[in-house]
Amino acid sequence: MWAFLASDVMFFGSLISAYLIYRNQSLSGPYPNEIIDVPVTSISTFVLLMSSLAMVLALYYVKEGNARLGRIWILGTAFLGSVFLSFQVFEFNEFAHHGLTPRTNLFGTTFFTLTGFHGAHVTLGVAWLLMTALVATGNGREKVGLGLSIAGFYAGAVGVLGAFFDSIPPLEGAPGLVIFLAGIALLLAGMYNLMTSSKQEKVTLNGLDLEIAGLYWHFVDIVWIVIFTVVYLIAANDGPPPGVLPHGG
Amino acid sequence: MSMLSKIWHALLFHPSKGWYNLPKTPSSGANPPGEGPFGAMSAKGKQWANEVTYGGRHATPRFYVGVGIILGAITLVEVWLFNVQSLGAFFVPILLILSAVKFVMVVGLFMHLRFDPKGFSFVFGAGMALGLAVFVSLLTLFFKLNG
Repeated sequence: MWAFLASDVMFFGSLISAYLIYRNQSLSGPYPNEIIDVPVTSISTFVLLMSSLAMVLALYYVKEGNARLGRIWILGTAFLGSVFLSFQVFEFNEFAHHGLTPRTNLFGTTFFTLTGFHGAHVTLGVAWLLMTALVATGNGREKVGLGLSIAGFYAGAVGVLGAFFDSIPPLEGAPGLVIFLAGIALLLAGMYNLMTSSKQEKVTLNGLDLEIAGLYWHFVDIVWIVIFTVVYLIAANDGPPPGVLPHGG
Repeated sequence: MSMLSKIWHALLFHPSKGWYNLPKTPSSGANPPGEGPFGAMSAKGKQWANEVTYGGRHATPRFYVGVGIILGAITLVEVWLFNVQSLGAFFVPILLILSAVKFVMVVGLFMHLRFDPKGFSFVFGAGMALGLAVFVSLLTLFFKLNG
């Protein structure tokens, strides 16, 4: 896993250097100083940092032999990672509403490539953690309950993003509300199954598997630490290159 | 001894005869351990760093939560510094240093690279060094070509 992380460092290093090379080179807007929202992204950065903390606590409890607490913290990590992804979806949609897409200008291309690949890494990590939690779940009824709860949570999140934040265009309004309510129903069904399951089987989790998942998750976090500093703090006040008026005039 | 070797010895060699005594203990030598610009603080500092990153004991949840709080606090400081207008040219170096501190804390403590075999550090470090080399080369090449 360390060798893979080393290769991924090179991958993100090249994407970040591409972003920095094309800083202040866009001939038309929108530009970072018109569109980047640092306070909102600070919250998502904090959420991702706390997910790293949840991950390390999950590993601690699994190594201590408390697989149940370990599974709770794994689900907590996946939840916080999903909150981060929701922030990303919201932000990408806001940028699209302001006219910034990967095809608009150099800033759009490099920004969406960099943060999009990072978001893809986070998504894979969340899926990995959820699979780990599901695999470690005991009897069939508990597994079904956990699966339904997870499906319900994500349906609800997608519904909220679509209906209340208008972040998913096909789901704006009534469709989003329907999915949100379906998500709530699935979540309730899942919780019911979880609470009424016999819980007789001992829950086990492999510490080494979780450690490897944890390394991947922490790596995703440190990449975001670098991206947040470079893109959102250092380069947030970038505008048009010298000699070009704002708005391509 | 011939005349020449006598002259050679007289010019270049100094018999001890009490002028310079070999130290009996390392601490009484010319360069005792722990002597440097910071004196014994470097050895004490290393010992403190070892203790505070829980030395040979297993980390507790309290330790991890403490590290998480420190990471959150550094993020808050970074966002606050973003709004400080008077930093000028110090803005970027300070942010980079704070990010590097967060990076090292997550890699060393959360990914416990500090406590793993040194081979892992080498593997990750080699990738980092290559990535940084590509980063610096690209930036240098681009700015050289574009003036």
